[in-house]
Amino acid sequence: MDDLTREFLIESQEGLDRMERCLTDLEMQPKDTGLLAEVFRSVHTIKGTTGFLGFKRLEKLAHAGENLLGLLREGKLIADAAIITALLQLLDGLRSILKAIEADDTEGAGDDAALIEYLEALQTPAQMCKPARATVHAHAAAMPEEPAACAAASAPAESPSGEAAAPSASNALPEPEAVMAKPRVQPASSAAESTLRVDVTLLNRMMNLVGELVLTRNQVLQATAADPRMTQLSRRLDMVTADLRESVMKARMQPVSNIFSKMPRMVRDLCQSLDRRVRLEMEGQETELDKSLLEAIKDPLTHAVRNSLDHGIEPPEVRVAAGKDPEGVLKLRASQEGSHVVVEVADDGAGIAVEKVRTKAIERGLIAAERAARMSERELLQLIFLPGFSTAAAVTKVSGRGVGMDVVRTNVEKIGGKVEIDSRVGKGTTLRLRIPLTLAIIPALIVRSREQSFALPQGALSELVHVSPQQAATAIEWIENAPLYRLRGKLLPLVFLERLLAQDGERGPSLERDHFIAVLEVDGRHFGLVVDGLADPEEIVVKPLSAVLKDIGIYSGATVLGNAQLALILDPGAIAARAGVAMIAEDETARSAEAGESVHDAGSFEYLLVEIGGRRAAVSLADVLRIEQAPLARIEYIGYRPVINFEGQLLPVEDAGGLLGAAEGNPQAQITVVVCRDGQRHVGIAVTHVLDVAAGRDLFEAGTEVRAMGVTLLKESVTGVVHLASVAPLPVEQEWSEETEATV
Amino acid sequence: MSKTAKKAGRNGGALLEVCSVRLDRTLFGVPIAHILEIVGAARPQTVPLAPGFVGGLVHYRGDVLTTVSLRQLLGLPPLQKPQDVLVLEGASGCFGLLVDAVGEVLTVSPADHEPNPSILDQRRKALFAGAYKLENTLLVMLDPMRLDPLQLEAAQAA
Repeated sequence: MDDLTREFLIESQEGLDRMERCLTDLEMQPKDTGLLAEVFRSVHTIKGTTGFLGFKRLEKLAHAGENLLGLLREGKLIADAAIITALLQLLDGLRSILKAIEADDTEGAGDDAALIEYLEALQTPAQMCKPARATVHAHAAAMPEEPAACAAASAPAESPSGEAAAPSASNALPEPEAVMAKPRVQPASSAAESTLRVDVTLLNRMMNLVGELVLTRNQVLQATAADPRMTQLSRRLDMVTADLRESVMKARMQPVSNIFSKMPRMVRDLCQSLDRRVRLEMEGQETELDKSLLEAIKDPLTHAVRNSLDHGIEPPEVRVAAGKDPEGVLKLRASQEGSHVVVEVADDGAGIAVEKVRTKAIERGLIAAERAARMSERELLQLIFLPGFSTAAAVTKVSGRGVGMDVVRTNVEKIGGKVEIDSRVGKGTTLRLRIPLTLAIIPALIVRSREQSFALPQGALSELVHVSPQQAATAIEWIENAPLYRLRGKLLPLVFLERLLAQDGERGPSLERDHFIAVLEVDGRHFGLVVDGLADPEEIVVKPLSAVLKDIGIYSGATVLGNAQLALILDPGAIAARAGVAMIAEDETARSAEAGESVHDAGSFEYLLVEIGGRRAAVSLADVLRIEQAPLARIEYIGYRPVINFEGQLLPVEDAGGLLGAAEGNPQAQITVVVCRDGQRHVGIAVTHVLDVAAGRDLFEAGTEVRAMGVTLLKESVTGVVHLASVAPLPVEQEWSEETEATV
Repeated sequence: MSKTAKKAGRNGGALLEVCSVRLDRTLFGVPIAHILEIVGAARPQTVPLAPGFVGGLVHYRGDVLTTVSLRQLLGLPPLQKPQDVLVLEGASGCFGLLVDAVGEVLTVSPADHEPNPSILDQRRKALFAGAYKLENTLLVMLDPMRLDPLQLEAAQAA
């Protein structure tokens, strides 16, 4: 294929994508001249170029479409549903020919005569309503491959919609709309001048090089940490690297509108084939996501939308009977939350009946009846993520084959994301996909075992437990060969990393030393990975492994650490599967859901218990983001306010215990900072030690029902709760927060 | 990367440039055309549960390279000091060949080539590509294609 043809294909695809967006909008605003002009231009460009390149079939089809669009543009026709449907078919027709050209440089063998004839028939003005409609029917019948579309085409044609006739209510839109729409086309052309097409492989290479730079930076930072003369320089290097990384990452970002824009068409088609009335609302389309991740969530998102329409939103008559608006609402919302993008698919449909889930799960043998009887609603909802689960009574064309939510979850977890579901019977269902911003660089905890370092992705990590040599004998309990740990009263299955990695015949782990349990939650599995030691968390650059090592099955990649050592990246999901840790429904749902519930129990919250300069204090665990250890040299001051710079983000440090002052002058001093979330901002709290995690209860003042503020009952003793909101904002917070938002 | 220098030899056959590699008491040779680079004094990171021939991972130009240990492949005891890595291009991408020490580049003539002797064990027969008779020693040829980790894994499975 020559360059000219390739260029033409890319341009035409883009044009058709734009056309698809415009067509669905056009249905809402049939008189919008801006939209019409845009659609006309797409088809016209294709026609013009094809004539030049000699694609006859394409030219003929585009020509037929152009004629129809010309009449629409001149206002001689009104874009009613029949015309929109025909134009969508034209779009599909053009696309399939382009696909054929891309595949083998020929236009394919299809025949467009029927479609062309249909497009021509529609050009007959609607005043001559009778014969026109007759032709529509006749040609509709001549196209057996599009029965649904034909039915739709004929139905709205009943309503008089010719230019002479009074426009129907849905078509009547205030003129200003049409006028306002005009400038919308302008930015597109000016954007074209300031943008540039870049090969994805080049971007990948740039990302790789930046990854290298991040590694080198990490090494420089570690090597120069002790040398005060280098501090300034290495800090500068740190900042520049972070900025550069953000910029390259941004270059790979694409707005979610790239996939959202496919939805109106899909929803429209599904509504017709499923007989639903749905209004699609989209929010946050400008939210950006790495290109590869965007590709990866396309299928799960499509699946979720199909599910919402098929199982969620009821047919109009059912909705009316339930006292709801016959038109359902499907909301797609994307937003950035820290280093994640959250994509929400929310419908106001029937919701998921947990009882149905229960019976279905038992029926399909996914869980035992007695277990199901004991499960709470929350746990039952999680069951829909099991393979082979579907609540749809009948298998429809759209969904219900039992491959559904498990695929959504698997795909999203594959890229390090998470899926959450919320549903209320009669009110609707909300599915939330949490996607990391990027794949190439991930935060990881460096753990040690067998005298070497391994990287454990932090996405799966929920907490860390230290078991001292004295405790080891009692804290780790055994059922035959299975090690278990009592985590807040529940038994957590343990996997010894050392044992897992041991070749056959090597001795088992000795218990006479420190152990750390990394509590992991992945693929619906919950377990503790026992390692010998912990090092600082690091942002690691994921390097692919060769096929031979990938086949081992428990490493997802390798990375170079700040100390220039190589470390293998552990795959928590694969480790759980290899060690035989059961899926959530088998025995873990109960645990995680109960743990979740206990948090929501009236008056009971989980707290991180810390020691600040000899006093004990509690921080609400829900607010804790992470615990960092940093050398005292990292603390800087803005005026008198201590701050710490974490990868370009400035964090105010609350030092109620005067720990910073006490450590002053000791170059070796390390400071522990609990990083918390307070609304939108992040706050650091300097602490002496982190003691434990415990459930606290509200205290009531004697004789009253008034909850005492700022204190909680923790481990049977009254403990003060750190009030995050009282940490004053930084003087320059405003400017900074904007910048950090952008660079997160 | 320069192409194999092919000059007319004494007997008309093309001369071959070979990078010599010392391992224990044997002198091995790898055609330099297959060598991308030589990384000196590497300390590979071991990979638990990896197949026996894997010598570990080394950092090479921003990538993580899987190495094949010639010692482990030949069943020799491990060497407790840094080793040299020959970066070779295999069918499935680059890999490293971990050897004790890289020696000089030698030019050999096809006239001096002999096939593998029949008394060699099967494992070695599969890895070696004959030997060149040098003045006072033998240079055992290694075939980079047969050292590719994927090949070795397939051979091991068979």
